[in-house]
Amino acid sequence: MSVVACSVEELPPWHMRTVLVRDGVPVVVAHAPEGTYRAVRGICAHQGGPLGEGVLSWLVSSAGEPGTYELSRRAEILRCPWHSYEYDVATGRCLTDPKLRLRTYPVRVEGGDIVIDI
Amino acid sequence: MTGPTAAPAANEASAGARKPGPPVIDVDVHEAFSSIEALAPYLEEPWRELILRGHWKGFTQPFVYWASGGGNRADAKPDSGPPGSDLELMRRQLLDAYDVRAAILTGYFYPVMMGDMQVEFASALAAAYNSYQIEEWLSADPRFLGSVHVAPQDPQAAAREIDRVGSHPQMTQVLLGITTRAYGDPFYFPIFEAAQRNGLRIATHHTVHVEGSLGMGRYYIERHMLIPQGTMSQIISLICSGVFDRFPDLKFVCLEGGFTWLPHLMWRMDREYKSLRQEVPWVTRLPSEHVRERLRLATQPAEDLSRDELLKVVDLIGSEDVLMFATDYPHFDFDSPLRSLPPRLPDSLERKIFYENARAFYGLPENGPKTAAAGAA
Repeated sequence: MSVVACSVEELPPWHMRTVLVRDGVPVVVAHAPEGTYRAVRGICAHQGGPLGEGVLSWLVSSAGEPGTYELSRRAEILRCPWHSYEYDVATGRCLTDPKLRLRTYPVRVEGGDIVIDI
Repeated sequence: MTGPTAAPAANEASAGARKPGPPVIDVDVHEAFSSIEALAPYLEEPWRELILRGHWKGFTQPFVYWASGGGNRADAKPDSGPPGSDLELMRRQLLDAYDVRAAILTGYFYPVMMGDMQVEFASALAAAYNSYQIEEWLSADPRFLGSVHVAPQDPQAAAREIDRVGSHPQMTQVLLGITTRAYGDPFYFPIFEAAQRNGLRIATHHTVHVEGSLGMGRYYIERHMLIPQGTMSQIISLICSGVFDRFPDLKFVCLEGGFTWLPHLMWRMDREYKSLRQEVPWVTRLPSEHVRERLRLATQPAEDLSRDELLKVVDLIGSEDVLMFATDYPHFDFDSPLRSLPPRLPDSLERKIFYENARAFYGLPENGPKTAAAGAA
């Protein structure tokens, strides 16, 4: 089944949007990096928090020195609004718990719309 | 191909993907005022005017939060005011999203954080908060039960406040915020005397000033990991200074400090007691006996235990009666009644943790909280 999430104009770079698909399941569509769209199941695999209410943010890393921060992959990390569990929107994988993974969905642009294959 | 669907906040509770879960008595729910000025109608002068002039803006934390919503769930921010201040949102996200039969309100405005300065102001704030809580929260939903807030740095004033509002039918306990004060000190005995004569319990809850044994740490994550040390320190203090012995009718609950460390603490306290009892002869029982009989721990944060791990901890505690479920709504480390404890627990244990232990602890009727009868059929 294919679902139109929105038009491309409605999802600018580094933003996300939640759409409800079959039986009301939320899917989060993220636009990052620019020109790339990703879709993941919008319910946190930890305690069920609504990921669409969370934060789409950077990957925060460090060269190793305490107190140093490096930011990369702008808006490619989805953080849960509850416990801040971090998910890579490209893979659905949780950054800190290998047991937790979100289902991912193919996304394409068709006639100016962002379409998710469910 | 189907068209787009507007998407309101959705999670497993609201999406109807699972049943609403077991009946719950939630022993740690943080209501909040929309702003400090909300206390003004309940303050006496000279304090009221000082608040209305903006001479004090309320408490803040000495660190920055990193979680998605700061210190709170990012989805719990109302259209106006801070998380926890909107009753309708709290109903949607907590009371009606799950099968919550009663919610113990614990606030997050703890005048102990004033420290030793201006204790009269701290006591006035506590009294105003209690009046605010009664007028604007306890009267608003029959599922709410309340906590008496005090400024423990002035124990006589705290005792007077407990006597003033402690007989309210929805008040259940005196809340003592944990900073760096050890409440076993006889200085605080007037508070325990007042709680006992009013039939109230004692609850502890950390504040943003709680420290571990080596301070708050360099990072917020470190400080959050250290929170149980404050709770453990209070239990040790209360037992060794004889509070459990001197006030035999009091029962105690420690909120938001976790529980998996309790077996260690019981073993350690008993070991030391067997060696060094003569230093504290006013302690007349093994510490572990006091704990099992009269101390309860809220489950939040539940630390993602497996079923086997949780059953082991309960077995090591030696009682199924100690743990009481809490969500900590609306804070960011909220525990969902559906997902924070492992599935397939024995029915009797699940019932005890989510409901029965709190029902017994707070002396509520078999069929549910007396004040909640109308709202929790």
